[in-house]
Amino acid sequence: MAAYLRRRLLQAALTIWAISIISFVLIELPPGDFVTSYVDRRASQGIPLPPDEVQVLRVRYGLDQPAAQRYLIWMGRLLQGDLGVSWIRGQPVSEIISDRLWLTMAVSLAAILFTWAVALPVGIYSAIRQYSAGDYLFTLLCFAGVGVPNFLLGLLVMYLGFVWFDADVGGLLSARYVDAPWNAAKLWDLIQHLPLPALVLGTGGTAYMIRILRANLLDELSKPYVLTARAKGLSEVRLLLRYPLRVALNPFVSTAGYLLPYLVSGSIIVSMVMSLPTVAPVLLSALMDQDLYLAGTLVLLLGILTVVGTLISDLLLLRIDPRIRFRGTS
Amino acid sequence: MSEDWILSVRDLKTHFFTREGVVRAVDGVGFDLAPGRVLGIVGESGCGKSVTALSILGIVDHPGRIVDGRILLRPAHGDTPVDPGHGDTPVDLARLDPPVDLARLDPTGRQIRSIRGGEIALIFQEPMASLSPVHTIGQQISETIRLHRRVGRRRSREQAVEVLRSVGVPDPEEGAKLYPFQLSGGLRQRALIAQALAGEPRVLIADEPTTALDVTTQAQILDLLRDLQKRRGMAVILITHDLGVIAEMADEVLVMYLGKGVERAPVDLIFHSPEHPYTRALLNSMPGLGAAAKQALPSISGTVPPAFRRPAGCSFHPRCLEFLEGTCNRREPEPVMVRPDQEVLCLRREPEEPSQTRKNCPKTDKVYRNRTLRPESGHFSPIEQESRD
Repeated sequence: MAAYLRRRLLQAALTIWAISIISFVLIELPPGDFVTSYVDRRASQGIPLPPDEVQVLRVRYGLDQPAAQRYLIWMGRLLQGDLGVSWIRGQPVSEIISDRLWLTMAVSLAAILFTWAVALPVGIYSAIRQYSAGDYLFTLLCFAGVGVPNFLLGLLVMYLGFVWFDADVGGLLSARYVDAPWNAAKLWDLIQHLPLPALVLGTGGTAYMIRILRANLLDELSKPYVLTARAKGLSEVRLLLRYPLRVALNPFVSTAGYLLPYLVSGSIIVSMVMSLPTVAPVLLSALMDQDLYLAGTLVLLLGILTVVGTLISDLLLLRIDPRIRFRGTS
Repeated sequence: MSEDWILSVRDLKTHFFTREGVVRAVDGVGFDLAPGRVLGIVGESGCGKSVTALSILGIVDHPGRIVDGRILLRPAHGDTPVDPGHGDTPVDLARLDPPVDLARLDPTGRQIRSIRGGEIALIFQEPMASLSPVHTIGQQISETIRLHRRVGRRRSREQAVEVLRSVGVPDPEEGAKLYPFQLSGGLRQRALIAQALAGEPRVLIADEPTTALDVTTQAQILDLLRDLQKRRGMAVILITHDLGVIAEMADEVLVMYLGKGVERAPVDLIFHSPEHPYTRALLNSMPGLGAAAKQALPSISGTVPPAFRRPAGCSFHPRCLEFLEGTCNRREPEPVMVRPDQEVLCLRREPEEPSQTRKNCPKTDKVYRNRTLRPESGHFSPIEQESRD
C-alpha cells in the first residue's frame, strides 16, 4: 500500500509538471503577447504608444526573452511561492484570486453536494422502479437537465427570483459583506446565497449522474448475488443498500475527482450571468488579455485540482472496492 | 402421497407477464418433500426448474408471479407447543400446527424473510456471481447468521468460521477474510454452501450446484452435500440436468418439461422403469461407459419450443416418440398414477384412451416417423429404433 501510494504521488507530481508546460504553451499560443494587446487597446483609445516605449514594456515584462527562459523564470518564482503579478491589474496574483478561490470552492462544494443529494435517491428510485411513471418523469427531467445550458437555467432562476420574490438572486454575498472580513455572519450570508448557484451549476451533472447510477444499479440488480442476498432473508432496503448500491457507487466516487475542475471551468458563463465572484470570470479575462502569470496560475491550479481530486477518488475506490485493491496493488 | 412431508408444492404455476406475452415458466408442478430425503428435479434448460426453486422462496423477479398453487411448509417441531402431558408420545406431524402456505405470504414481509435462509436455503449455480464481490466470505456468512439467530457481531464471525470448517474449507479463519475472487471455483461453491447452511435450514435447495465446476470438484461438492444432508438431517431439493448426479444423490425424482412435472417416482423406478416418453428419451441420451466409443450419442429430436408458442395438447408431443395424432396434440394430459408411487403426465399412459380418437387416426406410426426424420430437426434419433409401438 505504501509503495503504491509513493508511486501515485510521484505520478501526480510529474503530471502537474507536464500540466505547467502545457498551460504555458497554451497561453503563448495565440498570436501576439500582453504588450501587443496593450498597444492595441491604447491605439483604439486614440493614445498610441510610441515604439520605444513599447520596447521598454517588452523588456520590463521579460517578453524579449525566449519562451523557454520565460517558462523557467515563471516556474522558478512559483517554486518559491511567488505567483507573480497580474500585468493588467498591477496586483499580485495571490491577492486577486485568494478570496475568489475560496468562494469557488464553496460554490463547487455546494454544487457537488446538491448533485449527490439529488442523484442518489432519484437514481435509486429510477432503477428499482424501472419503467414506472416516476422513472419516465425523471428520465424526461434528466434529458432536459443535460440539454439545457446551465447559464440559461441561471437566467431563468434569476428572472423567476425577480418576478416572484422581487429579489436579486445573483451574487454570493450581500452587498454589506462583500468587503467585510470573514466572520460567522459573513459565512452564514454565503451559505444562504449558495443554494441557487448550486442548483444552476449542479443540474447538468446531477442529470448525468442519475442516468449513470440508474444504469449501473440496473446492471447490479440483475446479478445473481442480489438473489442470493434475498434468498438469505435480507429485507429489500438493507439488501439494496448493502449490496448492489455499494457496487453501483463506484462512478460516484471516481467522478468526484474531476467534478471540481469541471465545475470551475463550466461555470464561466454562469458566473458572469449570475455575477458570482468565482475564479472563472477572472480566468476568462486573463486569457483574453494574455496576462501570463494570472492565466498561468489559474490553469495550473485547475490542473492540480484535477490531479489531486483524481488521486483522492482513486484512493477512495481502493477503499470501497476490494477488487481494485487486490489487483491494483499486487 | 404420504403425509410425512415438511414441504409440499401443489400445482404451482409461476408465469412471467412480459410485453411479448405470458411465459408460463412453471405451469403445474407438484411434489412432497419428506424430512431427510433428497428430491432431484431434472429437465432441460428452460423447463422451469430454477423458477420452481425461486417460487418456493418467493423471490421470483418481476415480471414473474406465482399465479396459482400452494407451497406448504410445516412449521418446525420446536415452534409447536405439544401438549405437555403427552411428551413421550411420538409427534404426529399431521396434527401439529397447520402448514404455512408460502405462496400466500407477502413476498417482502417478515415471515417469509425469516423462512428464507432460516428454514429453506438456496444454493445457486454460479458461485462467483452468487457471492457479493465487495464483501469477504466471512462478512457474507456472518450476516446470514445474524439474520436468523440472536447473536452478536463477534460471535457470528466465529460461527461463520465454524460453518466454513464444516464444509471443508482449509484454514477457515483465513478463508473468512478472503473475497470471492480470491478463491478457486470449488472453494467458492463451498463458501456458498456454508452461507446457505449458516441459517441452519431444514430444507436446502441446490440449483445446479456443480454445473460451473470441473469434474473432480463436482464429485467433491456432491460428496460434501450428501455428507451434510446426512449429518444435519436436512431435506434437499437438488436441481440438475445431470442424470448422473440424480442417480448418485436422489431418493425421489421429479422430471420437468416445459414448466410441468411430467414424471415423479423414486429414483430406482425412474432409472429402471421410466414411464414418460420424455424420461425415457433423457435416459437414452445419457452417455454410458459400456457404449461403443464411436457411436453417436442419442439425443432427443427437435428443440424446446419457444416460450410463447406452446404446442397444443401435451406440450411434449412434437418431440415425442409415442406421439398419437388426434390425441396428444388435442388433449392436455392429467396426472396418472401408474404405480403406487409413480405419477406420470402422459395421455398414452391414461388407462382408457377414447376409442374415437384411435379411429380417426389409424396410421399413427407413419406420422411419427415422418416427424422424426424431418431434415430440419437437425439430427436423427437412434431412439426411434427402440420404440415399442
